[in-house]
Amino acid sequence: MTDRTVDRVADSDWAVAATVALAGLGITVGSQLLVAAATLPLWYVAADVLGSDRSALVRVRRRVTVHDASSEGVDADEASRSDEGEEQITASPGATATVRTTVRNDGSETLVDLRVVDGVPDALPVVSGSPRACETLEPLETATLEYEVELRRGEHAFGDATVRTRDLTGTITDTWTAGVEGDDAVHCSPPVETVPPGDGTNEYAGEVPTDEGGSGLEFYAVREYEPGDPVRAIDWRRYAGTRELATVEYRAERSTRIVCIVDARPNQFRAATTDRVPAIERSADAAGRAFERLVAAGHPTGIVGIHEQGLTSVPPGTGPATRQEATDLLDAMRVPGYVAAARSQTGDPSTALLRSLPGDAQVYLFSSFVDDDPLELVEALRARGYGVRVVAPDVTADTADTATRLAALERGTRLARARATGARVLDWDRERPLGAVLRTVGGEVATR
Amino acid sequence: MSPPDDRLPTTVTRGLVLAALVGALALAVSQPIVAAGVPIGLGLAVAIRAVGGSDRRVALGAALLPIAVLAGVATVGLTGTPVAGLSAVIGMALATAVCGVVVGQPTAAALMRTGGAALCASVLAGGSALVAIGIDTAGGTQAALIAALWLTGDGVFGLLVALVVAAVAVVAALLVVPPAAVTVPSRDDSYAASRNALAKLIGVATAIAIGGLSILTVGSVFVPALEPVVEALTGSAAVRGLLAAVTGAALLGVAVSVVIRSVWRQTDGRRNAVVAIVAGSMPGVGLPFAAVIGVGGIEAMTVATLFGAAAAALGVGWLAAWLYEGVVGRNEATNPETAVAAALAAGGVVSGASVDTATLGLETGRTGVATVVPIAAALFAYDVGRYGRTLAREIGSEASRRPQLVRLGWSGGVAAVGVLVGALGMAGATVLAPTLSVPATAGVIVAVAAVVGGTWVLVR
Repeated sequence: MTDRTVDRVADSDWAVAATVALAGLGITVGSQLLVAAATLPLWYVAADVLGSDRSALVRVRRRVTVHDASSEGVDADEASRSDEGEEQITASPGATATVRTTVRNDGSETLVDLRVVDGVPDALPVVSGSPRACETLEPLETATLEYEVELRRGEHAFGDATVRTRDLTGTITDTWTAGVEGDDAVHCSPPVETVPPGDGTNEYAGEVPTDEGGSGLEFYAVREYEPGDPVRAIDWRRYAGTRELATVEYRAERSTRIVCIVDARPNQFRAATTDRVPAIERSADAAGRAFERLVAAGHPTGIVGIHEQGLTSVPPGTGPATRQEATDLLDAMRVPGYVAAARSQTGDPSTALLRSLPGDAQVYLFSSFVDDDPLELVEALRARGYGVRVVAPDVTADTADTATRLAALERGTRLARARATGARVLDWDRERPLGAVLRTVGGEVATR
Repeated sequence: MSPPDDRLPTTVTRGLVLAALVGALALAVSQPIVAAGVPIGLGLAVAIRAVGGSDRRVALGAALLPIAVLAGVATVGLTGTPVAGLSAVIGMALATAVCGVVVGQPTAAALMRTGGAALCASVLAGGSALVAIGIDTAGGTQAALIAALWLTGDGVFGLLVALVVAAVAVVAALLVVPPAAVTVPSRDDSYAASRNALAKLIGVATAIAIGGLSILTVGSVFVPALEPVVEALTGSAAVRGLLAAVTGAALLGVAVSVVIRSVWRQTDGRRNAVVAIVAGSMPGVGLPFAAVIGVGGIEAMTVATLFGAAAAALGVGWLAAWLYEGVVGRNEATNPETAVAAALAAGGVVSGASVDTATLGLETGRTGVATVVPIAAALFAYDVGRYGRTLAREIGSEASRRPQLVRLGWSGGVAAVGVLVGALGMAGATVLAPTLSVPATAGVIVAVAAVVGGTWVLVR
């Protein structure tokens, strides 16, 4: 709580001026009624005299509830709270959070005019409700400000609430900032499991909806009939009404192939400190979870490991053999110095990877981005039109030594540049859980 | 606390409306003409509000504006006394200000259009006043109509002149109408061809009519049986009326088209409402003029005076709107709640100033109510308006009702105590002294002020 500022905001000059004006008019025109009416403003002067400064005592508590669209409207409040900190709320960008700030009059006197403005982070727009309120509160009575903010990427700290009270006469204001109990920050970045496949598809029928007409289930458009169109696609209702033939098109659904690229070069085996998990462990773990999820959704998925002098890979597929190979490969990658003999290639790994990637594939890249090579790979992939999702385990966070902090700055710059290429980048904080529940990836597949 | 809103909170707005209602009722106790001014003020407010909207609303507002001004001028003119006239004006101002409190300050664009509508209506009202003077000079409406029908002269020559004038007017109207008003750019060429063909057709038809009439006239010299036909044509009021109507309509079309052409060239990419203003102002002035001219018993000079005064008032309104638009654009406009307080206070002052000597009687009581209550309502409106403005600035117009009610109750209580004590003191003074002198009353004021000042010093 900051120092209180007590002000006398409403002076009585206007009432005195009104009295003088009315009395003067009355005397000028010789009207007793006007002179008598000149006493009326004096009562407002007298009322202002009664204004007094009485210290108010209020208690403010904030509760943030996240409604994540990707959680199918379920209140994700408890699930999204960090295990370590009660105040840390995690959520995905684009979700809305309902903020309920409760103000209680802890004093013994009624607050006739209590004004509260919650400290909403500047970066979070209020989309409904208001973080401002003016209430009259009896002792121990509470009032609640309820509003919704749209979450944006990053960590956002709520500020203290600004409180202002006015006495009954409205002449004395008491202003201070009150500390707020409860939730005070929202950490907003997408979880690993929610990164959906992108918009790369091939010509085969599949499950990814596209922005083109064809055979499917969802209505797409009605176009002019062309000879050869199937009879069942003809819009017979229109024909009955206008005698014109038209063909109904449905949104075409195509197949896609996904390649999970895991950066397994030697620098991925480092961690900020010896007691922390190296990046390759987290990358392989995330790639394995993502692989399982994508295969379960019916998307042919493969694994590619990038090593210092070669590649190891499992071709896209959905069968048990592919699963077993992928699991084995991901396990093997965690061992320093491993390079599989069977599918390895020599030369520059990135160049070899670009040559061997299917043209219709979507790419998931798991790398800590502690050097420039992954960024160059992302730029090359984007230049060739691949849809790229990046999951970057953060191995530089929360360290005190200067070198690591500088590395963190450089890493942040690389991720920003990767985002600038159009890739979807998830900066995976060390404190973030990988997730307990995998949602249906097929339902999140982006439309082409 | 940054400013989130400019609108007053709802409860404060209702309190202000209630104060205005109470003040207006108190004023009406002494001057019932105030009640007549209120609907006129509402009409003005609706007109100003409407011209800020779509073209249809602009036309409606432009039509309503001169009607309201004419009604106001007529009301003030019929009151007879300056006090009553002032009271009627105060009633109008109060109603307009209350509408400003409820629906908000008019925008600069609305004021600009209001000024345009006032100017257009002023010109039309001035023209109507001249027409009324002409009617009076001609000796009445019927005489004026007859004079207009035979303006081109009697006989065959007069008919021929009327024919030519009507044809020229129609062709002029055809040529002056902006093509954009009736067609799209892609059809401009075909429109021009059609228009020219129609003009030629009118020319040919007029020539045939002139030729036919000439042949008939010449033929009637040799064939006496044709004389009645020629006389019927040249002496027919129906033929002259038809030609006069066509000529008048065509000239009206020419005038409107010239205005439209001039304003459409000044749009500069901005939405221009002049056409809607002209379309609204014409019936707004023309229909009342036709109504009062058509009603028997109203002298043409009275109508001329009414429309002349309305033209002057609308001209002043144009100037006021133009000046106020600049004030609003600089965010220096007076708040509507302050305008309400000013109107109420002005009403109280006018009522109070109308009584010289206060005696213990019904008339003094009525005037006292009409003086003290509006002034108290004005003080309440000013105090509550300031509170509402602060609340809207700090919290927003959606602030909860309870603290507003507390504030309204407090301010209303102070005003009520003031009215009560003032009325009792006044009554007591008039009982003690049959006629309370002004110096004595002033002494009472000084005494009360001394008490209040002493209390203030003690509390501080």
